[in-house]
Amino acid sequence: APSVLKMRKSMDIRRIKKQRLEGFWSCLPEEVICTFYEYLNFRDVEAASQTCRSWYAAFINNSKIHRNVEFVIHRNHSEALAALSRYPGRCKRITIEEFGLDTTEIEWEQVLDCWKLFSDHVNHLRFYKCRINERQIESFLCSCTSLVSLTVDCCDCAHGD
Amino acid sequence: MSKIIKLQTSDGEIFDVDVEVATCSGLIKTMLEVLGMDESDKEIVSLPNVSSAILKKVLEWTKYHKDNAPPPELDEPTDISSLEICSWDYNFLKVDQGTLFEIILAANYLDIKGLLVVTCKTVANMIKGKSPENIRKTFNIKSGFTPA
Repeated sequence: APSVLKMRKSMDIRRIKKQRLEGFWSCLPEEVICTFYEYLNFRDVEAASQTCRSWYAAFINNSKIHRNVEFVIHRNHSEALAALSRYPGRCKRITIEEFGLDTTEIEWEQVLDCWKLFSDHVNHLRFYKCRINERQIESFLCSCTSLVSLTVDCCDCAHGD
Repeated sequence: MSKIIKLQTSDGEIFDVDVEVATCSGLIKTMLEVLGMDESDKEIVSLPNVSSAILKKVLEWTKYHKDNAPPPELDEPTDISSLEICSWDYNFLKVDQGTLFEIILAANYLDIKGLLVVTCKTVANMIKGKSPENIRKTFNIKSGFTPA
């Protein structure tokens, strides 16, 4: 039908214009952007989403990304927690890395306070290279009402206090 | 003797392709199922979104993976750490960014999942560990965009 052709042509023109303005990588279809997002962790996806409008839209619109992408809370946790609070309840897969090695009592409290804001959405939790005791693991777990899997990798888990 | 299908690219070139190779493409597979194999003997399947240069690359990839290592499945649970791709794919994708981009579009349009996965992994590797500014530089994204 001519109307379809006309519409297609105007879309092509818009695409070419966009391509010239922002570069061709901005013109990838959203489902393709989502496909490569699936191979990145949350930090990388967040960085990529800051580069242009279409990469940002793919990040915001696709709940699958938030389900599949792994979010790493490294020892530099304030930045990570701030990022999570920007997308509350969207990240389902979290790795807590090198935690407890030099974490002060105050930092510990801050982390747990933030943790409670989104932990009921977490499906997959992994501790990696943490020095953490049973009581501390428990305080992470007690608010995780949707947890499907828990992995403890290369951790130094002291018993009791 | 296996069946041959004729594919016509956007620039008018016609390729004679083994049906077994062509049907690695979900799009062509569906087309043939809908049209029926007998009719497709005479007909030329037009691919207005793919140039001959890119179709050559796509066919090279599908031929290799049909005869050798089967391509990875997209449906398998995504292993975040497995950004690795096989050495043949790595060498195959040592192309300029424009070509990589066109291959991705073609893989998406033709619905060739394995090819889409390796190309997307290649892009993911180019993004990994970079700041937004460096990602823009890497992909030459010219944008004054800053999210709220």
